[in-house]
Amino acid sequence: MDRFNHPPGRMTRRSLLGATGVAGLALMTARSWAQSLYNLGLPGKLSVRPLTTAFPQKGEMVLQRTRPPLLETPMEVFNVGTITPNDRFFVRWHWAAVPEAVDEAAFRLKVRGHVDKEIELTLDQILHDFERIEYQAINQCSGNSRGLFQPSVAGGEWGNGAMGNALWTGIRLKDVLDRAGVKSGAVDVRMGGLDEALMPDAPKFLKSLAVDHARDGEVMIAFAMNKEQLPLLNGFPLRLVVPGWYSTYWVKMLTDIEVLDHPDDQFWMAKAYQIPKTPFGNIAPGTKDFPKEPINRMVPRSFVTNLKDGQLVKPAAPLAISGIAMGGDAGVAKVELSIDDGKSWSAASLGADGGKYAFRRFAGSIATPVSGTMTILARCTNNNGIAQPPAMIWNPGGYMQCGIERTRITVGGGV
Amino acid sequence: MNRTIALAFLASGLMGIAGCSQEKGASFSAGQAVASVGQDFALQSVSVSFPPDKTAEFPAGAGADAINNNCRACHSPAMILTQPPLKHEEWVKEIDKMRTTFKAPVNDADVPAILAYLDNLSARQNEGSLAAPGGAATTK
Ligand code: HEC
Repeated sequence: MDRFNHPPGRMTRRSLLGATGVAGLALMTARSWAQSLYNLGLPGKLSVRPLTTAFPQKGEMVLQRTRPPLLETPMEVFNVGTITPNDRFFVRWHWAAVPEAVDEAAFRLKVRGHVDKEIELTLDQILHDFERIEYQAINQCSGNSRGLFQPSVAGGEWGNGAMGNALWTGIRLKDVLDRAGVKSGAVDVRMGGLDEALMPDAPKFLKSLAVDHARDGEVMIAFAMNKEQLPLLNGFPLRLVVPGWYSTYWVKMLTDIEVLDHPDDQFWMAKAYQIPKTPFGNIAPGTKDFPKEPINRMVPRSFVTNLKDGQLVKPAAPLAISGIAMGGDAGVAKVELSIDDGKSWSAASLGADGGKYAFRRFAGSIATPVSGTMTILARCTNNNGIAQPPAMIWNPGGYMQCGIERTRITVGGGV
Repeated sequence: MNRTIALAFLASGLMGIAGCSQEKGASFSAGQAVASVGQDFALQSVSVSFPPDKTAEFPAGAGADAINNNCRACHSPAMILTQPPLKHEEWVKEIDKMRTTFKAPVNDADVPAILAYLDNLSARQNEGSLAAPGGAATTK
């Protein structure tokens, strides 16, 4: 029985039977039948997850883990526009001590460490005492698509939905740092949220940016997401926005900013989230010794969103293809499509430009074959001339997947 | 079958993406001062509750007591039940990581039973007889 080759997406009872097998069914309670399940299309491993609407301020999400919450955005959401709605935006926490309540009046953002004077800002000050900035930016988990890694690696087994694009409004991190006065000799700026480690001597989740990056005028302390306050699970009341960089730096419930006069060498910077120092963080599976660096800038990706892998289509007919692309740390220059496994490419047309850090839609059309199957490839190239690599990349952390996606279609009778 | 790309690709302009204009573009700067959120925008205190875990315990099996006693304090069983099939040495490393890095208080005496449970989990996944971890916090 082939339990892995099912088209991803919401499952019917019949595809569920195929996917879990008889032994699997015996383990399921009658109650499970009432749940909607979602197949992430993960190769060589358990690929099915429950869909849930039980999380506060969240719509229907793919449930990866209840505590601490890991919620994935179903791919259908990306077939609508370029902005990911707040209630469908993916959720990712490391430690389960996430507060369930935040008091607007009591909340403070502290700036301390290697500064002229430590400061504490109220939310009212943050909203009214600083110049506001606003831009669209993609927030993508470092481990987005980890579940698609072959060979598999341990970690959060995401499909492609640990990403989203929002319009962020807030103030410059630079302006807040200037108010405290960064002393010369500052090296890193370390961010912490209201979430805490569960063991007293275990590493609290903290992330740092080099001081020049922190002061580049783009890094934002956001108080609004798509013109509304952030859902608690996405970091209410304040979240760092580091455009063009992976989500691990976008510290949620940001409450503490510490300027360091030395490189941040704590666990979450020095041990976790390390990538090989190679193009696209790619190494041959199984490679043990390689130079590492903390994950940083994002790279281009593109996804066909109007078709599901394995979709049945009409024979010898035009087939519309559309999807979303991201340039990573630079804008989308072009998206191309191929139906001959990358031997030749044809440019897709691009949708509205929401800025260099935003999703951009693409569209094209192909003629379907008379019979059989066809594989559609989409490739994004960014404004720095960086194109997606031809094959899926690999590294032991399961980070930075960016290989060209392949969408198979099958010509089917009666479609 | 004729699959030459010139024939296969129809004019992409046919697709007509809504609002396909070239706004902003190269001159865009993420640091420039603008905000569509007005000065009257205000933040409201939030108080919510997170849903309970529907799969709060590991499914029955040899070693279930040991894994239930040691591996649920910090995360749902789903963190472990959704892992790909891992080799014995990989599970050993995961348990070490939990103890040394994350300070998981794991009883030495329980480690062999936890490993037996985890090895069995991977074996069942390899043979395709593992059910999706439940825990959908809602029904539809
Ligand atoms: C003291 C808290 C704690 C305990 C107890 C604990 N873990 Fe973890 N575990 C963590 C944290 C923190 C993570 C990382 C979570 C994340 O990234 O979302 C994690 C992640 C994992 C992962 C995912 C892979 C990885 O390395 O990130 C596995 C597998 C895992 N734990 C297995 C176990 C097992 C087996 C036990 C019982 C022996 C256990 N855990 C007990 C804290 C704990």
